[in-house]
Amino acid sequence: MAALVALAVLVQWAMTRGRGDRLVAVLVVISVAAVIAALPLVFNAPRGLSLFAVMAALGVRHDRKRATRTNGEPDEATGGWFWPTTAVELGAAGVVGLLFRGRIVEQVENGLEQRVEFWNVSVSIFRDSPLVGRGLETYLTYFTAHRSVDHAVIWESLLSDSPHSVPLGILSGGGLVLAGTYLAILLVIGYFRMQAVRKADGSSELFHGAVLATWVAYHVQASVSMDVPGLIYTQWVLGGILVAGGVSALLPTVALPWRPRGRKARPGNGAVGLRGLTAASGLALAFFFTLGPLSAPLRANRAVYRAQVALARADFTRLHSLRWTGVRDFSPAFRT
Amino acid sequence: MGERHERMMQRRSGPGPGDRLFLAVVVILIVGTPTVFLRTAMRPFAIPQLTLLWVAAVVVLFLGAYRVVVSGLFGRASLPLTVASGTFAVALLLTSVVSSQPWVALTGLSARGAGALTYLLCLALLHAVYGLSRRRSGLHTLRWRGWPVGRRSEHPLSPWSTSTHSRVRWPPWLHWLYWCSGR
Repeated sequence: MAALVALAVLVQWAMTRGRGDRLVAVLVVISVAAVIAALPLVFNAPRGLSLFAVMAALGVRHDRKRATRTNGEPDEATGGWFWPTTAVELGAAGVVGLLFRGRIVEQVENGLEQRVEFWNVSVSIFRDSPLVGRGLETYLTYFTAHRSVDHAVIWESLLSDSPHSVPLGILSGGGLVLAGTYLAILLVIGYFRMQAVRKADGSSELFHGAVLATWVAYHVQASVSMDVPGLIYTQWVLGGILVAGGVSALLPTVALPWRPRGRKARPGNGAVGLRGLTAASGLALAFFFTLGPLSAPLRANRAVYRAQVALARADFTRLHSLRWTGVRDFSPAFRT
Repeated sequence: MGERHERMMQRRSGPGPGDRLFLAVVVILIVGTPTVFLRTAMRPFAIPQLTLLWVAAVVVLFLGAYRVVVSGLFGRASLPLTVASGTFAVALLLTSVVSSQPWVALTGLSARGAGALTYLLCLALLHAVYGLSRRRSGLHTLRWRGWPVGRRSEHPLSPWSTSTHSRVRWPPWLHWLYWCSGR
């Protein structure tokens, strides 16, 4: 439902395109909407996928024809559709909300049922070690000791390795020291994001507005969810864009002692080329050596998988050899 | 004074050494991390994604070091960002060291990898994206050999490029790079 509501932004964008660009924009929005709303249905239906191909082909054909006709100049974005589209979107959201009210309330209640307990556990862990916390991702170790008796009785086998809230996870894992500095960096990004949006004009205003909305959306979902690898970098990449957009002054660069000057700075200079080659070789070598520890968890995980397969096939010889491979590859964290 | 300032702007806006690869790695990280999976792993999503994130972020770090070594220039971030980043990094290390499970706190591998190391690399990513955006080099580095250099609004990666040489319509996800380059 939340993903569908987010489509309103795309609809708004499409409807405020210039007349010549609007058809292509609508085709883009339809494709995204279909993926979000009907992916499970479409996934097993080749016809559905071919629909995307047809829409993509139509969009590209129309866009290329128009680009040739207008020499690629965009139509001016129109503001005429802004308020009508906004009104329709709000109305549609209201109607859908009313229609699915019961289901939405039920989902929210179900989602909060366990989360409130997880959050309470997190706060309890924080109270035990308020200054520096217990360490990031150590939640599972303390979960059973800090959960309520009621929860232990009713949900005996239900364990959690995450508080299902990124800020609370940082609070229980790093205490006031980590939570305070995390808040500080969010405030800095927040300050620059306001500057970025304030400074922006025209199309860059739309861009920075979209980045800001995505950044805020990340934090909304992060407040009730966990930092998984597929998401964790999002706020930092978006934060980098926002800070860069918000910094107005030309920031100084520090010239290091070996900075090439004068003739030496010209492209093709042998000394500069040699330095680049040396730096590239050294860093490539260093990267090669860091690949081992960086990929150790993956190698260990694959070894465990192969061991499971061997166990299922009762291949004990292979299982024995894999066991030692796995132990060697495991990081100490896997042994704990 | 004005002309000097303008020259400084132009010099700083130019592509840095290694920026082409830098941009490619950032794109691989953004697109690849949420989508990669490996069927022959016990945790087919989390561990491969984490590995890709770590490796790509370390490549970004190394490329940043390469850029500094070759150019001899070290771009400063704004003071509030530098202070906030520094204290957050120190706090990450401190809370990991004093934890009763320092290795878990550092790597986060007993859960989903959201340990101090991942956050430190994410912090590096923030600064890398910030620097890339500030240098405005993201798209210049993608310029093809022989591509005409026109007005900024005519850059071939502009969503509505007017370049008559342009026969490539770039995918929309590349546009953020265009806009974040401070157009």
